[in-house]
Amino acid sequence: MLIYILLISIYAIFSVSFLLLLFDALRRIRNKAYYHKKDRLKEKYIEILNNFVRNKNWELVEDLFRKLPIGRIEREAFLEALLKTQGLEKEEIHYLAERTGLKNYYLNKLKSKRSLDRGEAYKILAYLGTPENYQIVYEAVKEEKDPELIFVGLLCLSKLIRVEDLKPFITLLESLFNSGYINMRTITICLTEVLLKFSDSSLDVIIDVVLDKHKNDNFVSAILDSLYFSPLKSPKFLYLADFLLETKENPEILSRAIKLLSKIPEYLNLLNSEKIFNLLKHNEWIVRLHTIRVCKYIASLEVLEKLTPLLSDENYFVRKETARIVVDLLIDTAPHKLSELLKMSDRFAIESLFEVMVREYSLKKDPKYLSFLRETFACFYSPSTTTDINLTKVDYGTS
Amino acid sequence: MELLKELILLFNYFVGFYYFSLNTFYSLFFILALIGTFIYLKKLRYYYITELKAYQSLPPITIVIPAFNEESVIIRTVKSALEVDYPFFEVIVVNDGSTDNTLEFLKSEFSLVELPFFVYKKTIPTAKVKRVFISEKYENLIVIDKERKGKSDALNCGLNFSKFPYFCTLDADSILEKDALLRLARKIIDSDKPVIALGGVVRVLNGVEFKNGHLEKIELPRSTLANFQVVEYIRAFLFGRYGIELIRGTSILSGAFSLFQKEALIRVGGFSSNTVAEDFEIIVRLHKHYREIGKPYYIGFIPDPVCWTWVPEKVFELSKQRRRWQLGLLQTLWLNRRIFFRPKYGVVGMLIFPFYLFEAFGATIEVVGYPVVILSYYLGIIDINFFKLFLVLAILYGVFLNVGGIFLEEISFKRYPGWNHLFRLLIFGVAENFGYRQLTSLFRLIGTLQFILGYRRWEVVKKDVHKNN
Repeated sequence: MLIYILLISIYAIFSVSFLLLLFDALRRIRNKAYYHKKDRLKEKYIEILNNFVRNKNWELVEDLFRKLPIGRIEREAFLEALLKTQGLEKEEIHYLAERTGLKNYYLNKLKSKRSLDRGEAYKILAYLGTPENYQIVYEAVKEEKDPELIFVGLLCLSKLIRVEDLKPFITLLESLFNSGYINMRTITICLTEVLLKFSDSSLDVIIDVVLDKHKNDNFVSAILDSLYFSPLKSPKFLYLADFLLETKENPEILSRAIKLLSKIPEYLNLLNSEKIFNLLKHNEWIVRLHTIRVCKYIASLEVLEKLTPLLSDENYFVRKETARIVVDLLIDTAPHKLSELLKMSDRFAIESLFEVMVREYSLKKDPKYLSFLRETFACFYSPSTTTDINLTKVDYGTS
Repeated sequence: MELLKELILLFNYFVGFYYFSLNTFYSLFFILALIGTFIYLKKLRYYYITELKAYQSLPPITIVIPAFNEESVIIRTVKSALEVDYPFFEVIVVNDGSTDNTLEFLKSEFSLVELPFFVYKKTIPTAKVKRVFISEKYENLIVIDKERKGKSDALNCGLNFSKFPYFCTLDADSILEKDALLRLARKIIDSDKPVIALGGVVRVLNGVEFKNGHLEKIELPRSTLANFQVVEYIRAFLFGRYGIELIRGTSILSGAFSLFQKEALIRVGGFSSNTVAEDFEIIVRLHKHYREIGKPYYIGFIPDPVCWTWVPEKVFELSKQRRRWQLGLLQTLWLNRRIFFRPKYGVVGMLIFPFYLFEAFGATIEVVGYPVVILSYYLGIIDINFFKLFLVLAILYGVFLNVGGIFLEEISFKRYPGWNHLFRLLIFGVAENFGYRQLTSLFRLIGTLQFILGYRRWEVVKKDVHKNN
C-alpha cells in the first residue's frame, strides 16, 4: 500500500514538473512570436504616426482607422505607438484613440467584473481619456473597494477633471478617506495633480473646503499638503494660513498652515509678525519647527532675538533647524555674532550650533573659524554617554 | 537490539511524517505564490511606477550601507545607491572599523571632506564614531568611520545619523536596481495601513555585468556553487517569501535590502546585536511591538523591487554564511519564544514561527536521516523497494520545488531571458539535489550545534571579487 502511495506521488510530482516545463516552453515560443509581431506592427504604426506628425495630413491615418482595432495585438501595438510617438498633440491623441475605438474599448473595460481589467483601463484612460469621460470614470471609482484600484482610479480622475467637477471629486476623496480606503498621501497626490492642471482657478474651491469647519482635521491637513507640494504660489495662501492660525488648534493643521507661508515669503510682510513669533512658543515641536523655517524669510533683527532661545529647545529637530537658520542668517553678514552665540551657557544650544557651523565651515574650509571652534568647544566639553563630540585636529594648512 | 530496531523504526516514521508535513507547507506556498504572482503581474500593468517620482510627497529615504573590509565592492555599491531613480534620498556609508582600504577608496572616489568636528546624538547607543565625512561631489552622501562592533551596530549608527523618515538597509556587496525604491514607495503611498517594513527580492550578482553602478547585462555565474545559489534564491524569494506574504506572515526581510520606517525602528530600540541574524530579529520585534500596542501596521514583501547581491563562490565561505543563517534563525526563535502559538501575535505566532522552527529541524533530520535510513535497510526494518522509491520521491520533490521556482521566475520577472539560461537553471535545479542540498544541510546542522553550544560570533564572508568597477 505504501509503495503504491509513493509511486502515485512520484508520478504526480513528475507530471506536474513536466507540465510546468512544457507550459513554460510553449509560453516562451508563443510570447516570442507575439512580441515579434507586435513590435513589427508598432514600428509600422509609429511610421504612419510620424508621417502624420510631419505633414498633419489626416488621409495618412485614414487607412489605419479602417483597420483598427482588430484584435488584442493590434490594439496593444497601436496604443504603444500612440504613447511613444513624439510630437502628437494631446487633442490628436484623443482623436486618434477615439477614431480607432481604443478609448471605447477601455471605457467598456471599466464595467468589467475583473478588477485587473478595470485597473488597466484607469491607467490607460488617464492618457487617452478626455474630460467628457470623467463622469463614467467617477462612477466606476465610486464603486471600487480595493485601495490599490481606488488609487489608480483617483489618479485617472485627477487627470481628466474639469474645474466644475472639483467639488464632487473632493467629496469623493473625503468619503473614501473617512471609510479608510485611501490615506492622506493619496489625497495629497491627487489634489497636487489637480492644482498642477488648473493652477489658480481650482484654488478657490480647495480653499473653501479647508475653510469648512466641519471637515476632518486629517483631511484638511492632507489638502494643505497638496497646496504646499503644488507649484502654486498664491497670495491666497496668506489669507488661508491667517484664517487657520486664528481658528484652529490642531498642531498638524497649524504646522501645515505655517508651512504654506514659507512658500510665499514675498507676502509675509502683509502678515502681523507677532502672530508668527507667538507660534515659536507653541507647545508642539512640529509647529515650532515650521515656524522657525518661516522666520528665515522675515528680514528683521527681531527674528534673531526670537530664534535664539530656541537653540535650547527641548526638541532636537527644533534646535537643529534653529541653528541652521541662525547660521544661515549670520554666516556671511555677521559671523562675529555666531562667535558670541557660542558663549551661551546651554550645551544643547552650542552643540546644535556646532553641528551646523562645522558643516558650513568644513565646506568653506575656513581655518580661522575651525581653529576658533576647536578652542571654544574644548573649553566646555565634558564626556557624555549619549553624545560623541569629535575633537580630532584636522590640518587645513594653518595649524 | 530489538529496542534499537524499535527506535529506528520510530525515527523512520518521524522522518516520513516530517517530510510529508514540510512538503505540504512548501506545496501550499507554491500554489499561493503561483496564484499571487499571476494576480500581481496583472496589477503591475496599472501601477504607476516611473510617474511616481514626480510626486513631491514621496517619503524621503535614507540608504544605509554598513561596510567592513569591502574595498573590492564598496565603490560600485555606493555608486549604484547614488544613482537610484528616486527624488529624495541620502546615502550613509558606515565604515565599521575596516582594516583594509575601504575608507581610502571612498575618500578618493567621492572626494570626501572630513568634518573637523561633529556632534553625534546616540538615540540608539553604538560604538564610538571616529570621523565623519561629507562629499564634495554628492551632496547627499555621508561617510561615517566608527569603531568595529558589527553590522547591527553600524546600522544603528546610520539610523542615528539619518535625516529621513524611511530607512533602507543595503549590503556593501549589493546593487539596487534603479527603480527599486520607487517600487517600494508605491506601497507606502497606497497602503491603507502605516508601512513599517518592506522587503524586495534579492538576486545573485555573480556573473552579472555592470558599469558605473548600473546593470549592463544579466548572465548566470561561471561558478558552479553560485549557480546553485541562483536557483536557491529564486526558489526562496519567489515562492517561499511571496507565499508567506500572501498569508500576511512576512517575518523575514533580507538584510541585504529592506526598508523600514525610522520611527518604528527607534521605538523598538534599533537593530539588536544579540543575534547574528539582525534582519530576522528586527522584523519579529516589530511584529511583537505593534501587536502588543494594538496599532495597525503593515510589514510585507514585494516581489518586483530587486537588489542584486554577491554570493560566496567557495565552499568554506558558503559554510560560514549558512551556519550564520541557521544560528541567527535559532537565536531569534529562542529570544522570541513567547510568540509561539499565541493568538495575540496573529499568523506570525500561530503559523509562521512554528513553521520556521519546524523547518529549522530539517537540516538535522536530513543529515541524521541518511545514515539511519541506510541502517534501517541493513537491519531489515524497511523494504528495499520502499527505500528506493522514497529516495526517488525525495529527490524528485526537491527537483519539483526548483522547477516551481524557475517557473515562477519565467512567468513573472524573467530576468534570465535566454533559452541557455533556462536550460542551465534547470540543470542546476536538478543537480542541486545531488550534493549541494546535503552540503548546505550539513552546514545548517553545524549552525544548530553552534546554537546549542552558545556560539555567538558573526563570521565574515570573504568576497572573491577583484574588479572594483
